[in-house]
Amino acid sequence: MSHKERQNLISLFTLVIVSVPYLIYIIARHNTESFAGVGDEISFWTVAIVAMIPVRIVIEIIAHIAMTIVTAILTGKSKINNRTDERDYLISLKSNRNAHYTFAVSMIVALSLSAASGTLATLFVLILIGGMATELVEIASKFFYYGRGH
Amino acid sequence: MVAATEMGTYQIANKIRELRFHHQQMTQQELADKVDVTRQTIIAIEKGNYSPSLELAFRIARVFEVPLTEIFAYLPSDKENN
Repeated sequence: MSHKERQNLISLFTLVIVSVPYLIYIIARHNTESFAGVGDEISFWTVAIVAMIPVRIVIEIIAHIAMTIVTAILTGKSKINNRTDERDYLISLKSNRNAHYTFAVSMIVALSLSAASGTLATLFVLILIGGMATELVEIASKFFYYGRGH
Repeated sequence: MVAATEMGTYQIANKIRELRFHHQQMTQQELADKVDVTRQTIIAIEKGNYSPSLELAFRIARVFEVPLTEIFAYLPSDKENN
């Protein structure tokens, strides 16, 4: 497994370990809290979404550093070849494209289902799920393209 | 042994593995370092899973000191012949 594929695995790991439990926690907390009005509920959801971003970034950085250290210990190499070449850029572009399509579709689904259900919680939960699905599609695309060669 | 990447009814074949062998048994990592790509990219090219860009193809040709057409060939695919 190349270094890039290991990085992909780390991203999948942080997505599953951090984002999914966080979503469950936020939904549970939303159900227990009472909101004075729509404004309060919007504040709750926007804070929940914005707070997740730096937490994910920090955890992902820590996970990548840990992986690099473990790889260096196991392989005995002090320097990891982290070169990014044309094939890596091509795979990254294709994966980003797939992720963008997924995000667009998930937003349409979120807005449609929210309009049908009439609740704000539906919209924001679906936005969060859509974000995770987008990331999952990007990771899965990278695995697929690296396995195929391009 | 010729590896090939399919593009429609034609495929891009290459002789990189053979040329490496004849150049003091150059390793994939050594070739990757000389042309500034990863070893995985060289592996993908040799297996015929990836077609290099024109620039990369020229860099590979320069390493082996042969014309581009001695490394890469644009051939009708086996499916077309069958």
